[in-house]
Amino acid sequence: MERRFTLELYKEYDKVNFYTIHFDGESDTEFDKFLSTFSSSKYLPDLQKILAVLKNLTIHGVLERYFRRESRMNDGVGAIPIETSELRLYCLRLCDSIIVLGSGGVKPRTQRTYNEDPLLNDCVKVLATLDSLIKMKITQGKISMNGKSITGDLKFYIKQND
Amino acid sequence: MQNIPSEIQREVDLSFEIVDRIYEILEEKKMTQREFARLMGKNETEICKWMRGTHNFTLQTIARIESALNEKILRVESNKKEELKTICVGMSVSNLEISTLGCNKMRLSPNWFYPKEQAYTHYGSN
Repeated sequence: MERRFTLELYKEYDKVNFYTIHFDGESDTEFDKFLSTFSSSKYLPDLQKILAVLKNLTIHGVLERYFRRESRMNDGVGAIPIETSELRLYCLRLCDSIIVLGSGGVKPRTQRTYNEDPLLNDCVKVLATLDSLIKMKITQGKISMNGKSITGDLKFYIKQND
Repeated sequence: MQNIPSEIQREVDLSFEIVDRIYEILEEKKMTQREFARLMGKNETEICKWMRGTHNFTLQTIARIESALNEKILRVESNKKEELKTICVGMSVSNLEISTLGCNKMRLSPNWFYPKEQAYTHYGSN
């Protein structure tokens, strides 16, 4: 079974563009779902801190050193970690000007890695797969990245058991 | 995006300013993060954690970093006129907020960038 989605521009800033993932048939994007889930929970202050970090990225750029690498070392999947919190937002950094905001969740401190949790594992897996697909489409000339914009065929699918 | 409480935004802003300043110093000294870690007696993983922009630095840690690198990272504002010549964090002049970018530029609210010297001329500071 396939899960189809579109890479959608979420918000544009002077130096940086935020993109996010929008699965077919769903009303909300992955990032909006993350915001909705945690904005009325005990994790609201942590969510606000993540948003404050995102705001700084719009000013300083999406620099690699601001992220903690997740997934494999050769993809751009990272987490915005708040040291005092268990809440994680997973993102895909494409370059200093483009970031894809995924989803995330709570990773308890007792849990060593994200892949011990099916929800977090899925968040990372989707972004890691998207990274591969984007690179493939760039090679094929179906997608191009110019400055802070990514254009072309921004529809993707992943297989349910990938 | 949602409204962020000012104290949370300020906390994160400060953290970013501090790590950007540290990074700037390391670049000027051509020092790698590994060398910096060794200098601080820390492992590289911990330094990477510091440099992400969300670390809650203690004054003690900042003081140790300043000593190890022999460079200033933070200055405290003063109302004395002569202090206007110093780059400060959060200094107010004529209701405009000046924040340091940790380099030779000063950012003036709302979104103006001036080299330090021009900013002084523009606002008539001594």
